[in-house]
Amino acid sequence: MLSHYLIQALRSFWRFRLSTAINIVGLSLGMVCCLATYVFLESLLHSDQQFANADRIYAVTESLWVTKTQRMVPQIAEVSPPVAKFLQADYPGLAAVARALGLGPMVMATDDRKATLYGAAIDPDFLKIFDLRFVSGDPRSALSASHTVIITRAAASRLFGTENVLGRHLLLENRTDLTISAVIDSVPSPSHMGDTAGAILRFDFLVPMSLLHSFASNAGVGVIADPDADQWGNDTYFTYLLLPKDGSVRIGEIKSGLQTFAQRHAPHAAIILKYEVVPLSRITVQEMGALYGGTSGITVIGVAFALNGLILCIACLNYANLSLAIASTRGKEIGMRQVLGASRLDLVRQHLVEAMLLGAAALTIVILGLVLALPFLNHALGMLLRVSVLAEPILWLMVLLLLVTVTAVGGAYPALVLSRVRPVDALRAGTVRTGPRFVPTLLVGVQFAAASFLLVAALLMLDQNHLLLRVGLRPDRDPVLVIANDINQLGVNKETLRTQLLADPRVVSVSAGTSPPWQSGGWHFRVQNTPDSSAKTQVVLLNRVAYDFFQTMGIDVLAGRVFDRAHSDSFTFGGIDMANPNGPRLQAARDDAVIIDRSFASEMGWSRPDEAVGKLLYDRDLAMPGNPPHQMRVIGVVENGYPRLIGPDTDSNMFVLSEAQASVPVVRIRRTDVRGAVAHVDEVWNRLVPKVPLNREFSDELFNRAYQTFGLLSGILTGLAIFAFGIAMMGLFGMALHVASRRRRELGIRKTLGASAVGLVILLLKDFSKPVIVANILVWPLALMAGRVYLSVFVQRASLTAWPFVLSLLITLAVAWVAVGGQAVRAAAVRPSRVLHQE
Amino acid sequence: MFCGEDIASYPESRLAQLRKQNLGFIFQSFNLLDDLTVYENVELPLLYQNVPRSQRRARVREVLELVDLQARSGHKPAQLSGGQQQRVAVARAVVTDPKLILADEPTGNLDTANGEEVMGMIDTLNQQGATILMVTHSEEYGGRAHRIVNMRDGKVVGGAEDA
Repeated sequence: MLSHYLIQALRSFWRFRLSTAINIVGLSLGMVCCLATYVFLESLLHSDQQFANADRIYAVTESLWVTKTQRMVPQIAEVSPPVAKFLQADYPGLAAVARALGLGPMVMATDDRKATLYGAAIDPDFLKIFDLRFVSGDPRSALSASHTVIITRAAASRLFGTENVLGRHLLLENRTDLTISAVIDSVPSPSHMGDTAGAILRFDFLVPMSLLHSFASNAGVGVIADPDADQWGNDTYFTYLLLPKDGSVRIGEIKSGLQTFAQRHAPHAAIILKYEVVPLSRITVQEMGALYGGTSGITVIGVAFALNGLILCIACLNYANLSLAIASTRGKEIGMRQVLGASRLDLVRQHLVEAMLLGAAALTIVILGLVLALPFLNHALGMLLRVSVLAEPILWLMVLLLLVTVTAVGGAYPALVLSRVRPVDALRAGTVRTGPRFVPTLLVGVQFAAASFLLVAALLMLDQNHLLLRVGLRPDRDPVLVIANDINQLGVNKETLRTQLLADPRVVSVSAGTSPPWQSGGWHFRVQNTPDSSAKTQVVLLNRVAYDFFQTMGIDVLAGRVFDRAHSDSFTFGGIDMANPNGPRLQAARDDAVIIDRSFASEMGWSRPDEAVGKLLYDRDLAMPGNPPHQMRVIGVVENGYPRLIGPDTDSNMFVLSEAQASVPVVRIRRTDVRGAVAHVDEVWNRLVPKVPLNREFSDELFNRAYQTFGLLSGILTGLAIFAFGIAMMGLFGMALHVASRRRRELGIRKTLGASAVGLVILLLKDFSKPVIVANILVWPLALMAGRVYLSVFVQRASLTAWPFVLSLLITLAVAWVAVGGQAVRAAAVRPSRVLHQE
Repeated sequence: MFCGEDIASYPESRLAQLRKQNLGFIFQSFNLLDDLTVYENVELPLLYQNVPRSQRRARVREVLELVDLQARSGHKPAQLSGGQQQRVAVARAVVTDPKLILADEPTGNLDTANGEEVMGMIDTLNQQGATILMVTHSEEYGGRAHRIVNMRDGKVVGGAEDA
């Protein structure tokens, strides 16, 4: 019997080749999305499984809250420096607790070679927790001395041309002499750490945490972190714990203990801290979620599943719709089978076999396609999907599940409807009524609703990205060059650098900040406009800048003045005067000069920029303990537009003068001779710091890098929308086939009554447009909500206008017309004599 | 009434059962399934009765021989003449050895020669013991029946009494 069904199915596929092809393509598109996402997520969720202790390793996560309900920094696996210390004290039974701190790119030099490499500082037990693959050296003692370094094989080859480098010396940032104590292999992907660009903890070399002290003492008041500082809220340290093998400490204990962790250990922290733990394999997902979801709490996985469910659903509906359309012309066959003794169950079975066969065909195409596309996907997504997932039974289980879903969801309705056909009706009319008339319309409507939702969301994203590009890349302006070397570390004299750079007329202005432009995040600072401690606080991002910052970055001044040398503006951090950091601590409160941007001014209730000038602001974070609040005076208001892409929750900025800390120089050069100006910058640098290569980048490049993820995201969403539209278009085409054949007689009669072909085409298009328009409009509110969430991630937000919605409606209509146009024209060209004669 | 049972109140599922086991159908327009070969068309009722493959093969051969179409068993209906198609339909109707064969104007779409041939087959079947209920406009073919019921506009107008 089964073989009969199969043969019958294959023959009917052949007879309805067009519809079958459409069906297979539609199902394939749906499945491609599902499987690709599955493989992607699977890779993501199986991060770090290569470590021997993977199932016993957890990372502590921290989230920062301004108030109990207002979250400032989402749950991330980087936590404050003291967490590890107290965790160890709370749970002495833990096998190990260790931290890792990403140091970013640094210059490493041998006697004759230099390279910019990523570094990380680790606690000794890090090597106990993670069994990194040692090529040479001993993991137990590799970093026991303070001036030692572990480097990857690849880095060793770059620096020495050989991997046999044990005991050789390296000069870090032209300052610190290190001895190579071990060489390791790269950490295999997928992992949250490693030497790939996508790694969250990126390193080519590892140094002991204790080395940071020597950095700090060298740099004076620098930005280098002190790993032993009691800094709560400085969430930069990955903190891992290893459960003991014997199970004497359970993760449940730690989870419950962490709930009161902040109260017990940081009762006086200026900010509300919350702690949790995540298993090692979830770190990547946690960090991605924090990056893309911001504080909204939306997870990458949730969104991925929702979108894929949507696409698969469209594909299944499409299948159901098309098989109904085909079935209506197979009425005679169905009736005849019943006459010959087929029971209803037989018919249901037959149609399910057909559905399953189509599903299997689609799946085969998809899997083949996926294997071929994997390298491309890896490239596009910038991360390593494991080809080996194809060998895992769980994937095939998933494939089977997908097939069953498609068969059940797509095939069940047509099978049921067809099995209910009464043989008498089927044989008499030759065609059958396949369920209620509105069902195909509804199916198509739902498909278009889903597709329109994706389209509006994609358009909103596009709009936002366009704004980002407009803000980020301003070809009409003189370009800004960023020097990414840490000049505090290198001991470069800033005044010398500035005057020498400005000596060339092609350099317009020179300034500095504490981080390169377009970096996400920043220092969250809580400010009040009265000294009263119970007053409401406002969160603002605090930026420490050098003189001429606004002029260099092209930020307009709206009121008041900027920092200048004549006014001896200054700022105090905990009593340390930034203008004279090595001087005595100030005891008395003093007016510190601050500049705020327009957005912060309006948040503080000053709607006109000049209202804000001269006003006082207060904060407690920087006050001396036991002293009244730290007092600041607004000296100027500048336009919004500090170069930052995503800012968790706040997009207002405050600027203070801190020449000492602003260690990232920015240089505006004339666009008329960029090449000459850059050559001049290089020349000055090589004269001042001959041993360290200049690590310079245009602000545009930094922007592009930061923007990449969002470009990719909107690319993915646009891709999904196109997929969805492709499938929905096929569904509509199927419905057009169905309706056109059903209405042939009606159209024939209309024609005999004098209707023109053009009139009939318009009539048909109108009918087909209705469900499409209704579906589109119905999803607008949903799309609006989704768009709001996406926009909330950014500092510069596009305003929500009507055009993405209107455009989506137009595109949807155009797509619909393309899909049904041919059928409508064909149906309208019907010769009345032929259809009516057939009666 | 069928075989002593009132079937008017049967639900659809029992009707399907009844059709499967007791009835054979022959239509004016043949109603063969275009996608299936002659052999498969004739085999179909046996498939629905879950007859084992070897028995199916033997039985289908047998009835195809009866209608003299063994040579055509691999052809599709579209490749056959009207008479041949109707012979396939006859073969399909008798393959399950039904108690009753319902024939709805079996010769209506055929020319005289083919019509004669099909009627000859129906006669043979009847002589072999099958009950045949045939609807026809043809006085001549009607005359071959053992019992005739005349109908006009859906009403019985003569010959209704039991013979």
